[in-house]
Amino acid sequence: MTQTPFTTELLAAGGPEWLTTKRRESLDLFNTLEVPHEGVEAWKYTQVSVDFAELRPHGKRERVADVASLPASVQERLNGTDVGAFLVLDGPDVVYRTELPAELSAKGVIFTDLKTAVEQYPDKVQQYLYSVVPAEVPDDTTIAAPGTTPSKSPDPSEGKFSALAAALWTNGAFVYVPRGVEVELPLGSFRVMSEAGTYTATRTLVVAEANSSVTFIDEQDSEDLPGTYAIGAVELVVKDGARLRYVSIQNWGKGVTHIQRQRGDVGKDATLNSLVVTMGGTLSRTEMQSYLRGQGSDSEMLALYFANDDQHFDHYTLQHHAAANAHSDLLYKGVGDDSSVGVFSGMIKVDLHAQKTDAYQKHRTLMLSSDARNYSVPQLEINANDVRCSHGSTTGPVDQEQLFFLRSRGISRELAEKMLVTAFLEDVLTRVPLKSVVAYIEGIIAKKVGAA
Amino acid sequence: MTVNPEVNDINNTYEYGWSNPERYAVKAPKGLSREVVEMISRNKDEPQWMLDFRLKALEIFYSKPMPTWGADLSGLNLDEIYYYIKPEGMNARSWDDVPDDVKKTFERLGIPEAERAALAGVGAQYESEMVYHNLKEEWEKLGVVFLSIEDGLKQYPDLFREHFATIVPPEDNKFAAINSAVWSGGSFVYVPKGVKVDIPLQTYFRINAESSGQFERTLIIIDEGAQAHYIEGCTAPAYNSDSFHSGVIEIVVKEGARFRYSTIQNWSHNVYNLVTQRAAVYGHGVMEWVDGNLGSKVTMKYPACYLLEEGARGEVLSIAMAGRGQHQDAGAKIVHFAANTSGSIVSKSISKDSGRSSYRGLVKIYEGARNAKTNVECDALLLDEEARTDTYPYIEIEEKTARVGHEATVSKINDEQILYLQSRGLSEDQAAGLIVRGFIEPIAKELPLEYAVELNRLIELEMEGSVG
Repeated sequence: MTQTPFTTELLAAGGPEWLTTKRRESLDLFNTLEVPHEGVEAWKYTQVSVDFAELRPHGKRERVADVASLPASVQERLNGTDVGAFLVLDGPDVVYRTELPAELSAKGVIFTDLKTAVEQYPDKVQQYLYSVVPAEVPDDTTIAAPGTTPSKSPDPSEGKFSALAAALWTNGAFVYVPRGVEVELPLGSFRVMSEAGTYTATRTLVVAEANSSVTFIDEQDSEDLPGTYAIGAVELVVKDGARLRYVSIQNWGKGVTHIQRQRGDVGKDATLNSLVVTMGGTLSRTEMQSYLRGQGSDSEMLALYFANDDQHFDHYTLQHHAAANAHSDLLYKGVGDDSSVGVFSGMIKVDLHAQKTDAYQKHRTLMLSSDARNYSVPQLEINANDVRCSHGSTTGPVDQEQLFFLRSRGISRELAEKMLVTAFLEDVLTRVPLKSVVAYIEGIIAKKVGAA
Repeated sequence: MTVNPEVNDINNTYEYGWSNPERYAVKAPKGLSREVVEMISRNKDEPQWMLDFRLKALEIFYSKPMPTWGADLSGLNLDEIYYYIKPEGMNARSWDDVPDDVKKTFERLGIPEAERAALAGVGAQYESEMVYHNLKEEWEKLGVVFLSIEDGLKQYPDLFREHFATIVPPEDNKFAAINSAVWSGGSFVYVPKGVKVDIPLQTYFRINAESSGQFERTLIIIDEGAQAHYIEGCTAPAYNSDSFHSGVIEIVVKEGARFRYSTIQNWSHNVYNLVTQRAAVYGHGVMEWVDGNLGSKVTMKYPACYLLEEGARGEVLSIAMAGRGQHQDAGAKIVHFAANTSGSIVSKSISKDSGRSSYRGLVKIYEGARNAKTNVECDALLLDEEARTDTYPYIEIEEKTARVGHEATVSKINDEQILYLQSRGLSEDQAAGLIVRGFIEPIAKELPLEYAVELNRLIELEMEGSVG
């Protein structure tokens, strides 16, 4: 077999044998898969043209001793945050971190980077790593009654980027909350990149043991970086009765291609709340998947995005009801301006016997430009009859009556439009009880709308 | 006529499962080949351009892969199909000239009776050819044309060639290509400017032979300001081996015209029904598809309205009912090319006994189609815990003034409603049947009375013993 472009990086990654084996298998898988093409339904509207042979890894950055030595944008961001502890990654590795409050450590809460966790907590990492986001595409083929015509299974090429993330992740956050422990302040990781024309692969693992609760905030921010790739995987383990809130804020600079699979495995009576915010990058593909494994589990899935210029945002969501009595509620709102492209594909799957499922999905798009494109594919695959499942998707321009009302109050058309766009997006945030994060997101929205 | 007892268990409620002994003027050998295509063309005594068209389409068919995005077609063996079977006696204008057993078939299906009672014209296709085609004189006098597609090509060569394969070209999809290569039968309809045909035209399709394919091709032109309603019905005997039906329907609705195409698809449960239906709608014209899919093993059918000029409107009303072993992959497409065009899709499906009904649809608004709007509503009813339903809507928008809404709901039969009806003396089956009829009522009421009654009766038959 010919040397693949990533062999060197694979060898450099190191780690215990189970992990190097996993990495090697993942790279082998990566090499057998094609980049998903137009004919793959899950990637119908988003094509990634990337020459992997030309990609080189993002350079390693030195650790810094204090916040003052971090990039200015990170410092600014850290000023306004109320997270209890955080990691800062620049490219492949951690450059700065704060420690958990002692009382949390005393309760057994772990918050560190994944590389350190592999060394210090090998059992916990081995138990959960790759369990939610493996190298291959998770097989979410709907379980149907015998005799019915089969559902389509995912195309193997949907595992192309997750295989890369599985093989070559360099670092990321690791959170572990023991049974019954409630972590009040959010924990977070701030990811930046600083070298154009490179790739970075990261992996985040959050484990919330039974009846625990925790919030994790995953922020990405950079200057403009032409030809730069951020490939990520986020694994969320929500055990029985636990509550996990996950927030991802993607605000990369221009030129960045962001491809990240985020998936939660939600146990009995457990709750996963997610919020996805997409503002940056040039090409962004974010998958948010809730696998409702346990009876009575619950998932709230929120997102907001604003695409302008030549940005291409693709949001792919899954509400997979594998157990009875589970509840899921999705609200994604997006704005498309200039010659941007917005894609939303959302799937509700209900397996055979997942009775009393209550699933809802709502996607709303505001179109500000006729050069913009919007593709919306809200889907259902239902195999149980005693369910409440519905979805709605609407696309339209700014409401003319609302615009007229504001203008009649002496507000200029331009400002009125900005107000309406802001209100349209911020509507999602009313459901997020995280004051400082919401304030930060409002700031990004204002910048993007041009109302700052 | 023989009943096919060996398949009664899978088609126990299907009442059209009998067949006639096979007696044919011409039967092509099994499978698809250049020779078969040439043989069809020769039998029809066609101009050279049509033979060339067929052969080119055959190449296109070979070059396209089987589609894998929709229903499961792995059981469809295209080599095991008879692509052309020409019955004895063709294209009669009087039922007296139709061979006896064929005539009896259509009598049993109630076609001549319906013709006398309520229709402006009737066509009847048996295997690959139209055996009967007649238009009442009063409409003929007004210049309405209602012919077999073959006679359309012979008698109106220019009008035919101007529109044929312009709306559904063979490149469109693999099944449009196979139809273009081996098409046979179907109707040619022209309604002149301003003529309003106020009672329906109907064509009935019957497959009789085992393992046969039917590839009718229909071309309908509704000229400016004209109006018409066309109804299509179909049945086939129940066999153990699969049959294959792949029609292409092309419709032109000119400025200010209005046309409705209604289908009650009731193929036996061994038929693969893969159909391409599309209408081109010009300025302020209105196209309505009323599509009922009850029969077949697998159906893939998405009636389309291409709204080409300002003010055009497209509507699709779709009902699907899927029982054991069936997959109804039905839906609709509304494509907006021009300003102030509007559309509406209402889809209702009923699934039971591991039957699967899917809504698959497209709403597309091209840049420049200002102030276009379409609304989509999909409701699925699941009758038992093994039933299944899917929704795959694609919404593609390139215009900021576009307004598109899509809503889908899934529900089961409400126990309280059943109990209430039982307390009024109905059996559980009757109660469920009543609820299902209420569910499809918005669509049934759009059909002429006799067809609405027929639809309700078919659903009642399908519903027997389905609850409890």
